Amino acid sequence: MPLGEGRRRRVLVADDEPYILELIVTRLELAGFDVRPSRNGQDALERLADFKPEAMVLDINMPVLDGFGVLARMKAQGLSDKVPTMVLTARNSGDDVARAIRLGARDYLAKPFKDEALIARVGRLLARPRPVARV
Amino acid sequence: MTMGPSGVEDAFVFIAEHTNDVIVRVDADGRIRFVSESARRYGYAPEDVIGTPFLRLAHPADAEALAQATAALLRGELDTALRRQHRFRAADGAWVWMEGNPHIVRGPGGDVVEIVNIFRDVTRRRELEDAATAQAELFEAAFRSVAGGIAILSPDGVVRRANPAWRRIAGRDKGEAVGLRMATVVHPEDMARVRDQARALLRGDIDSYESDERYVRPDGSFVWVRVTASCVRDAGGQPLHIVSQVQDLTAQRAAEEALRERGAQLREQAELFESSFDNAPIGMALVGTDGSFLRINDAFCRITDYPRARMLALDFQTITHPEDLNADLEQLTQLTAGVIDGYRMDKRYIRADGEIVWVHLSVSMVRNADGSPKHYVAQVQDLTERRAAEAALRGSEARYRLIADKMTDVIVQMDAEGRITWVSPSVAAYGYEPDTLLGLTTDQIVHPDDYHRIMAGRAPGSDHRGDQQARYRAADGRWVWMEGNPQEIRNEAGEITGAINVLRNVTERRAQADLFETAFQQAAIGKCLVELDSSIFKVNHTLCLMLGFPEAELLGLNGDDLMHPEERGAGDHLIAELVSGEIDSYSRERRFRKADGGYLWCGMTIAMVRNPDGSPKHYVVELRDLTEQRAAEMALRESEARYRMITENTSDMIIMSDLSGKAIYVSPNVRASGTRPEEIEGSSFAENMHPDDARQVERAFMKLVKGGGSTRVRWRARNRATGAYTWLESNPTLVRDPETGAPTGFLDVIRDIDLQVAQEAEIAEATAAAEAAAAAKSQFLANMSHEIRTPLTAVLGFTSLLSEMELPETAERYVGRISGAGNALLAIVNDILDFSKLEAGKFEIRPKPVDVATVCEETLQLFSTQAQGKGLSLAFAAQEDLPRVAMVDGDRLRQMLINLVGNAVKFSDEGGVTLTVAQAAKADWIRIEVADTGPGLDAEAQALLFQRFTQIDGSMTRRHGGTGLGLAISRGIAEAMGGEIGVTSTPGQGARFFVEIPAPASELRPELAGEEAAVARIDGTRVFVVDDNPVNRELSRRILEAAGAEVYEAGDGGEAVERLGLLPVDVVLMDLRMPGVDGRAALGMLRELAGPNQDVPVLAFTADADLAGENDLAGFDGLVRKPIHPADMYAAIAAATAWASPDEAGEIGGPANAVG
Repeated sequence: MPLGEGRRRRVLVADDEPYILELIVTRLELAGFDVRPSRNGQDALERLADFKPEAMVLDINMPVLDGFGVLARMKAQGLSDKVPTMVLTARNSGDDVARAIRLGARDYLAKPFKDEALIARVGRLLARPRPVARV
Repeated sequence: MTMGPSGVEDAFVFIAEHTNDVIVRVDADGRIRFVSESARRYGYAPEDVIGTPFLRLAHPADAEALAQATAALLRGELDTALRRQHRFRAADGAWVWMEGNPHIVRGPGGDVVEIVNIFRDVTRRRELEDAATAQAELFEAAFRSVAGGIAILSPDGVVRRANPAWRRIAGRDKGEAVGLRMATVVHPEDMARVRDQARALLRGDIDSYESDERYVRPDGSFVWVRVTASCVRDAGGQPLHIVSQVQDLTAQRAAEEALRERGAQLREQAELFESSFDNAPIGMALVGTDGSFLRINDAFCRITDYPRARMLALDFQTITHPEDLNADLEQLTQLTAGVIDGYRMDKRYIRADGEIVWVHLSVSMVRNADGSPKHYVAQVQDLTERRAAEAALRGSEARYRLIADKMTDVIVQMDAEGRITWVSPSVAAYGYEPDTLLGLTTDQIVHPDDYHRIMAGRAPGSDHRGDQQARYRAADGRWVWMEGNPQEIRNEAGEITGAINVLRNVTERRAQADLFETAFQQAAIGKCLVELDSSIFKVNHTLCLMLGFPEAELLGLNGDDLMHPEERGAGDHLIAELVSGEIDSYSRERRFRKADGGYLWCGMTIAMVRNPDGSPKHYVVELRDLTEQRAAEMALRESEARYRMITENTSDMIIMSDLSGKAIYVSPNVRASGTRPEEIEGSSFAENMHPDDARQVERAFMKLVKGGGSTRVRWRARNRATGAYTWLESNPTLVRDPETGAPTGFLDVIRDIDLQVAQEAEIAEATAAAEAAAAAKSQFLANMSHEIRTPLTAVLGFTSLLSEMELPETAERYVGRISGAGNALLAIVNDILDFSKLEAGKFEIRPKPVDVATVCEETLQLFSTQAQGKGLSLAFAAQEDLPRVAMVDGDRLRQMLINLVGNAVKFSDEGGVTLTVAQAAKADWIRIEVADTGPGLDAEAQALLFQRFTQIDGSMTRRHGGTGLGLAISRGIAEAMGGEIGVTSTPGQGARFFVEIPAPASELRPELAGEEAAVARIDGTRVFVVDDNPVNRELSRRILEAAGAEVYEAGDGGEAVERLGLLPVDVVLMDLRMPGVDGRAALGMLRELAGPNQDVPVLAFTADADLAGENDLAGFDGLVRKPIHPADMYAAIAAATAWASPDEAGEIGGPANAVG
């Protein structure tokens, strides 16, 4: 999977499972993103300022500060629109999705997910598609 | 019949499962199409009877009636509520009485679809009813025909029934009798006594009583009756009614009264006469005008020394001293002529012993009313006693004269030839001049029937005074009963010279005696007269008939001989009281021996007859045959008992109430609820209802009033005795007026379901506990799976990364191993997750157009490597005309087949596995079979096979691996699809698993063909379809899901905007023309709304006709045309969601919102 030449888009990934975190980070790096890992919600919030991510992949179930907590702080600080965020949820947790959307999340992805879906969704967070209207 | 077919069906199934009645559904051709399970009770398996012509089961004698009733029902002439009883044949050939309750079920067009008949077995009920009817008829016959009056009274003395004899005695019409209070019938003077006896009877102090009392008739007259009353009680000993038997005593009483009165008169006369005549201190004689002695007293006999009999045969001339005779006759002539009133003289009598006695004679004349001489009264005083007697004489003379004048006896004197030589003037009372009779002989004036008897009585040596009663002819031809007292007259030589007879009129006495005798002999009851020593001396005909003895035999018996051994001596104390005069009579029920050795129950009454001086004379015993009465009582008791048995042995309580719920009739078995029928009658049974249930019960009842029919409703009743609540189930039916059809009330059959409710509660509790345990276990499994899957995801993810790297060959092989084992582990974990979903009911089935045959074949081929390794063959066969594409959840079908084929390969060591797919018996279903050549399964193993965590034995699990959930999950999937899964197998001959699922053919196949590329491009895409037409939404869903898209939908713009506010999707298909918020408005709102879909591509979803031009679609990101062409739809969606390829992702465009 060749890497692109230009500036790579910054993506922050927060997950408390170290192996899963590393796996996501590796996949996104292989897809050409500039990725920073974060082990919990509190850490992720702190990195927003220095890393200035253009998108974030946020696990819901985390210790210290969970995904909802992170979203709530971001909303309070007016960061929701500036850092489009996709949450990672367990299967069959529609309630979690709605709650996350209300708190400003832009998209969601249910675990376990396919590599392709992860990369496609992260791409969608970063650039609005411009389809050609065929009227 | 507002119920549709499915409503009938539901109701039907409910009833069929809940009733003991036999429900039969007969189609329009008269064939049975359904029989409830309860038919097994009569030996019929429902499946054997179905198709049989219904009438064939009916009794030949009833079949026609049944057919006619059915025809009438179909014509609408027969009220469906009218229940008919017919005989039906049980499987063993026995006939069973069934009561049908038929209902017609009609199709939408009014045509008869079937007749539903609910049969209730009434065989036992009919038997009981027949028996009760027979008993009742027996009793009725006895009641009507018995000679005596019988009335059945309520315990409070109201006439419930009265037979004709009773009504005759009481002088009441049939209509008047029933409801009559006995207080208005019994004479007021007798009432207190009757009431006391009745109370004693009701208390049970006595078994019965007999009393003589007066009944007052409506006309004010009264009648003497003898009442025998007994009490009939229910099983609990409570008096049900009093049976009163009544005998009219009027005639008997009158006869006895008259007899007593007349006897007293006669006795008085006789006593008066006897005492003044016989006991006079001087000699007295009544002397006929011819000088003969008519009557003499003891003193006269003493003076003359003649025995009375000889004296009476003589005249005074004979004993008068000849020297005194003329003077005496001279005086007498003057007396007779009325010249003198009397005369006195001293004269001599020649005594029988020949001696002469001087006496002082005083003679007076007794005349008849007409003044004619009747007889003379002579008073004779022995001159030696003269002074002593003189005073007494003077006092008695006047009195004696009076007596003599009143004498009505006729004195007849006859000569030796029997010719009448003289008749006393008193014969004038019978219309004769005495002279006209002179010269006649006895046979000329005595009734021929009596003549020989009285002549025989006059024969020498015979002295039967009673035999001297004969009918004498009066002048006017009447016959008059006279009792004679003939005496011979002898001369001094002892030769009979004639006779004298004093005749006394006994007509009246005989009439009374006849009356008594007739009453005695002809009485309806047995009577006998018994001496004080118990010997029987007179019996009547009835008694002979009752006991079967000839009269002569009875007369030789002692009363004790007839008594039942157990009762001998039982009445001794009563006899003693009778003798001592403490009581006049007593009555008891006693058994008396019959000639055939049996015993007869009799009502016995014993009374005492006394001599004039009050000393006991003999007993009068009356025996009344109680057989009929006892039979009637017995019949009555049995009828009662049987009726009670029927009503009380029904476990259901039955309450009839009016529309307000006020009870009119209450069956006795409400006692089980701690109450009594009387307490409920007239009140509303809601009074004992738990307040929380009242509204619901009232609703159920009111619903009946509106809709008719019957219903069931549960409620709690408070036990009045204990205060505890009991669960009851009411099954009320609306009762209608048979004429007008207007609702009149309810018939409620109430069942105690306390036990049932308790059991249901227990079951519900147990079920809830089991479900809670299962849910907890499922949750645990889900959690566990999740916990396992997270590290497993990492294992597989890194393995995948590793496999993308350049590795040494050995390392690459190891990575392959890790990947294989990891995926196997993931499959197991997914199995467990699926299973917990199945248990939780969260398992989703998503049918898509699938080529079932291809799925089957591909699944089989997955195992080709494994099969080859074991030397097994794999064979596939598909029915040729199967629809190529059917709506089936292909993924789940594949999951099932993997389990089945995997097992087949796993357990077969030689031979092969065959998978066949074909049309199932049901239309639009397919049947897939997987046959192996493994060890096969016995029945026990087959039963366990589809249960969770079960393999044939533990060793199999160890040997072959797997969770043991595969088949359980497969079953869950099959059932979730609405299908079924199963196995047929014989141990040693392999197993054949099958799956049958609905697989309706899909019409999408042509459009799908050749669009594989487009399908691939929208796999996993989230599409939100907005359309007010549900058909369009459903069609879109099917087309899109077929291509692997996730589909969400909304019916209008408003709903779409609301849902899209919280649900991120990849593309929206928006219909333009919708009620409410239309497509354009919805698009505007969506773009305004800050949310996950503010920038989502939105495609217009419309028909060309609805478009005004190209500019009409301003703001939309594309168009999907209707009617839908799937390929176009896929292309439009793919274009709208076209994404920079992953390798470009990190580079294109600038950061829209870089964090400052």
